[in-house]
Amino acid sequence: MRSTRRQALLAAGASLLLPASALADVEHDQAKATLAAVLKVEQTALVAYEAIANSGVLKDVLRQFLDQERQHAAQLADALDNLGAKPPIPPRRAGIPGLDNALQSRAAALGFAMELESRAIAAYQAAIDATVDSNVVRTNAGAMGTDAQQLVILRELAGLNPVPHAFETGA
Amino acid sequence: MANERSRREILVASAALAGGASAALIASCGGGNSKTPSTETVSTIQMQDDAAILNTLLDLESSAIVAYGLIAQRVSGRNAALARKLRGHEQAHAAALRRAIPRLGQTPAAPKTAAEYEATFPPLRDERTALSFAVDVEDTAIGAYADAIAKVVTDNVRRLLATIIAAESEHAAVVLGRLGRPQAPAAFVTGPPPPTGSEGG
Repeated sequence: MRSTRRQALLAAGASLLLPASALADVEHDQAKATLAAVLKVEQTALVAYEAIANSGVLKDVLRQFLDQERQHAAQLADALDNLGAKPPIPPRRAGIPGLDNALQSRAAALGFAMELESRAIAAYQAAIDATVDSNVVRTNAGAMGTDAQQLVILRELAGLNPVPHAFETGA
Repeated sequence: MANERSRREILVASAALAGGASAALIASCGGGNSKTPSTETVSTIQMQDDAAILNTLLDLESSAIVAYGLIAQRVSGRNAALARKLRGHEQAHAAALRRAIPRLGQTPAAPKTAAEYEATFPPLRDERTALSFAVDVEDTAIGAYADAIAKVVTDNVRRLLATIIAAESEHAAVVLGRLGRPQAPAAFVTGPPPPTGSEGG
């Protein structure tokens, strides 16, 4: 029978004679860190997709994505706020690696967006793993599913297999 | 729309009936209180609850495998190839669930016969009806997994369910595209509404 993260934490806490409240703090911090990490990816998508769409590449597709990413970012900011954490500062366009290249061609933009969506899926899965609030878990699962659907759209536009894996783990 | 609703209701009711007590567990676990105590251990009872949830999902996957077998016979060309591929994915999900349940100290439930599952399916008259049924199969799976992931407490199980929800969402997107419908129609995938207590119990 495999022990879970919570059991491991408790075992570690017992050995160090840590109070239960300290263990709760560890989980609280993990939830905040992972939710902030997802929000950072969503914020990057918001800035990058706006820039790419404004350049005229994948305009219609990315406009639809932007509306959905805004809703994802808003719920993540709310979840962080409920945990007493501030959202990360959104990145500047110049600070997003690969964005300048993504503005050069449709193929480059598709590659950039697919990589971003894959990172988002992986980040959501880490957050789902670390979060204990079941409402937040469910909402994040819903957002992750939509990002996976966006990834399918991008793969098809790129002429790739839209569903290459039975288990989607992202990056 | 009425037809779509009835197909989903059939699928959800089928899963609930097959799950029996398991479905009741899904409906009742953690109900009302959204916050699990953050420092609790995963008790034997909680592991049993998680295993029951996985057994219900396993039945849903078994149903999907049979459904895609039937869909593959009703569609042609690249849609048939897609149905066979998605059937393979559902088989992989079922296998993963079958491996996970013993790790929770329980035994995977045996699937029903294909005929029992088929008896709950709507008639698949043509290619479009068959693809629409595939969307319902995926929507039902997404709803069930989303419900389950909010209730399981075993961390590695939760991660497994997350990777499957993402895959089922991708399946839905591809099939929606084949139907000429929006492939990412909502900001949050949710599947159909969960069954009420009377439907699930």
